[in-house]
Amino acid sequence: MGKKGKGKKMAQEEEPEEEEPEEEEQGQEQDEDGEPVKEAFPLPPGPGGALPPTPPPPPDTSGATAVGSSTDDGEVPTLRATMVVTGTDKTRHIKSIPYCEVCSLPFEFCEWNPLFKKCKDNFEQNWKTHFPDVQGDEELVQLMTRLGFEGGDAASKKAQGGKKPASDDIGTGGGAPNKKKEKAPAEIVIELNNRNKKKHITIVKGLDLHGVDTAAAAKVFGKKFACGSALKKAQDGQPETIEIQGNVRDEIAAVIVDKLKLSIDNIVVLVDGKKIKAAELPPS
Amino acid sequence: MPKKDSLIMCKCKDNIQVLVGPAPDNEFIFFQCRQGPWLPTLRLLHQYPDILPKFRVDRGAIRFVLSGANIMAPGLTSPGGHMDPVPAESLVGIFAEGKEHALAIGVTTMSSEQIAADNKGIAVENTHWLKDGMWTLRSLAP
Ligand SMILES: [Zn+2]
Repeated sequence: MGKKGKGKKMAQEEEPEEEEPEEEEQGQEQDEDGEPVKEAFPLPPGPGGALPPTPPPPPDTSGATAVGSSTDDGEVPTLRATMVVTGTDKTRHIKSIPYCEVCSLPFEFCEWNPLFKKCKDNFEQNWKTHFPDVQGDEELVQLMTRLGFEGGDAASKKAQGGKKPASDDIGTGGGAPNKKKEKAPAEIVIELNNRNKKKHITIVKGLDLHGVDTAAAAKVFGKKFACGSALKKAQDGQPETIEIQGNVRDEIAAVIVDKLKLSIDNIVVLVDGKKIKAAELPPS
Repeated sequence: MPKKDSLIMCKCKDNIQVLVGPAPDNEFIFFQCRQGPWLPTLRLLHQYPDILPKFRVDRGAIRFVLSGANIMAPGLTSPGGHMDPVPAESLVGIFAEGKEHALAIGVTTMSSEQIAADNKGIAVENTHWLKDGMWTLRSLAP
């Protein structure tokens, strides 16, 4: 496998990186960032804080490669030729970043998980292990606000509901071609695809934007219509969809309203390329 | 400095190679696509936030970046955005307004000056983002 040659290359590549922990450990004695793993850098302020998450250290152009200084290996730049890495001599090292058990992201990104509620439940149970330094209710509330969990249940609803208008605003930016450009809550779009001449697939989009557990919803549909029903996760910028084998276009809106407790006003059906409100769909 | 032989180079499909860190975690630390530049993984960037120049997108752009969209210039030039000065084809860490950790790593299509001047189109190609395959796979199972 040409392991030898590769080994050498990667060792070079590796060096600057692995250097860091060492520097850091030595640095810890003099540096102010001894143990304050989380407090060592300015945290963004509370809710709408527009301050830099990490005010970029003034790019000290002298250190062209991030940590090259103490490396005796002069060839590193060949690999880095196309990489412009500006940094400072002091490279912060955060030993462990708390990640959400549910969505795997840093907790501050949980609010973008369609299953935000699960993330929040998990956080409420396990925050102590991730943030042992947080003392008392006040600090906890602060932390939760900073991470986007906010306090109390009402807030969590707000966080979920609040996502919709926001996402729609952005929708006009071209991210989600199937969303209508208006400020109403995100639409649930039902659409029929021909798999071949006779077979159809009914596609439901936008449920995730309403905080629905889409995996469970896919199951519900499968049961209800006694057919295959699969969740297609969001991918490559495509929104999350549920695909149902067969043509249930005209019935599914009722199921969404009935089983998922969503308003029929949010549901539109694509008929011959035109969007028709589910409520106005002619009875079939 | 860990022993060099504790690092593994791993070739994967789609012409991607990853450099796997030391046991016991065996986490991916760098990856490379074809003969392109080696990129750190986001987990590594989270631990060493300063190894790349920083770009910050406004809050509205976050959900698109999280689904793998390229970063458009307006997301960087709006009040919530920020760009360290860099030339074109630079590797940058993508941060977000009000958030502490990076959510993506990308390559600039033009210089930060140019991005600010044009203020339209794709500014950074998103090569690695939270929840993509590289993030999800995370490590070599021991
Ligand atoms: Zn989460």
